[in-house]
Amino acid sequence: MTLAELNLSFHDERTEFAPGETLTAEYFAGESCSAEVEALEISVLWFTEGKGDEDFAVHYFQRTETSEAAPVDFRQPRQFSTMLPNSPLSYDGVILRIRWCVRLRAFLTRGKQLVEQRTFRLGNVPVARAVLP
Amino acid sequence: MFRWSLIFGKKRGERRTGSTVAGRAALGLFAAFFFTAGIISLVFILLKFSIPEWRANHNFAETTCQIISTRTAADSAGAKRPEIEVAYTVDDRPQTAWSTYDIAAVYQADGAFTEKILEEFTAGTECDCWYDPRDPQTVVLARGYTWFAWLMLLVPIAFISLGGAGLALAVLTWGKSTERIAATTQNTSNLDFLLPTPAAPAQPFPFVPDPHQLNDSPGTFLSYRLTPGTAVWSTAAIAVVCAMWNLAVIVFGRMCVLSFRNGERDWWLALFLLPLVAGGVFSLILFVRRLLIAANIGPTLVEISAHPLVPGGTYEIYLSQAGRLAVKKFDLKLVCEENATYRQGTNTRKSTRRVFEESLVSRESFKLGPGVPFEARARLFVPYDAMHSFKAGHNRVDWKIVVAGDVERWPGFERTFPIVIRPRKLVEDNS
Repeated sequence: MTLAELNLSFHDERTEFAPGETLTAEYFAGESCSAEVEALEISVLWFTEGKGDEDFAVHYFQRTETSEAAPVDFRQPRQFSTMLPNSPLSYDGVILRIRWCVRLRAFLTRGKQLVEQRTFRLGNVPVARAVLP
Repeated sequence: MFRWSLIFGKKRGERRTGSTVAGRAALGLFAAFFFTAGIISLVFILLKFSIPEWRANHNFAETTCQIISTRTAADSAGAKRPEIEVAYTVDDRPQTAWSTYDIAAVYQADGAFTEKILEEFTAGTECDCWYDPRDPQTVVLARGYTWFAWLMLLVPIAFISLGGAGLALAVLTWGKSTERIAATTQNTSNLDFLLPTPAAPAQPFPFVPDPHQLNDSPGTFLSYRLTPGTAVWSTAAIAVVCAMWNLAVIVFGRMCVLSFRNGERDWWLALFLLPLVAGGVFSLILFVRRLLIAANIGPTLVEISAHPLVPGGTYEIYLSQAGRLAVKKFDLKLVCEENATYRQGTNTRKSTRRVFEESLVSRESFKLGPGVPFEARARLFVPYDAMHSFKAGHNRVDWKIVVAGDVERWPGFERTFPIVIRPRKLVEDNS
């Protein structure tokens, strides 16, 4: 099973957004793994990278579960939209980077998980440089 | 390539290793240990102390007994307790039993306490006693409540509360993704782990520090007077440390002098005193230096025309520096710094990098006199594409006004005034 079996794409293939704009994305599980999928979680979140310990926060979250009473066909493309917040903006600093992404997580039978992630930029803050003393 | 997953976290440069699942499992086990220990000790204390004491005061039957003999019992550690042999009647049947005086039957290191109790009882005399209707051989000569039988319950209750909360957290988050946990904890009204969080955040600028905390003080010349970041409490903390340290020096110094006067000559104490005195002198010098700097380099006032600031905005700054000194170099700067905190083993470390610095006012070689402060006005322009102020648990982007000076015959000084730059709104961008 490979990560390619989870499909996640931005509407109009946009990867740069301004604060307050609406992000639309589409996702579905591939043919080979869809039978094993018990739940799909889609989230829009930011996380930090760099020297400090990781901070992260979820802006949008939705979980879809299947059951015998209400079976879900995860092969069917699903779309979601969310209005992006004013902050924090994407940032490429010296010891701190703030990254925004859409993350698709599939929960399979036997407790396995698959994750597919697409990063995007929020705002247009340029790369920071260290000020020399 | 296959690699064993580390069960403990380790920060390697910008990468933290370790298994989240193993971490959660370890936390769950730790909480389970606390919870189990709490339950076991609660049951033990209830059965051994609290319930017997309660029953002795409420359920035991009162009668009159005759003292037959007394003795002092001791445990393996040498602790003692009084024991009194008594004869009494239960349902017309004569009984003889050794009473431990009270229901707690605790062995005490204080032998005098045991002797004092035994003095109260003389063979052949009669006194009131209380026996257990379920087991008539259990008899006490004193009733009442002891504080430890009930106060001790607080310890297991604390263990059960902490362990139970940790265990509940481990159970509730087990098998759940970090995104799902975060979404639930961020949206406190959503407690069933199933509903999505609202798409629109409650705050207009999430993770931007609240600017209103810095807007408390109105300015004399401009809208706001900025609050200094280097607070007075640091000098107060030095004063407290200096006082405590030198108090210890005085106490140990007196002990040392007395030992030499009495002819005992405690050289070890004298040797221990040497670094203590050095530390005391150092803290005293540091405190006096701080006081002199505060007295000679007077207050720095910075005022700003608007707050919070917005990228692309232009603002007015007013600066006033009082004091009595000859200034070699004086600078007023707009600065942006990245701050990161990270755990390394049991230590928490902090790292700072300056990523923006712009001089707003720069002067050289001038004198400050009493009643004649140095005043300056400047225009502050926030770059259109500047990163906004950001504050999360371990990472921050801080903007501040920095006043720095090199003065003659004194060490240089730097005073900071935090400001908040918020991001532009979509409406502002389009206007």
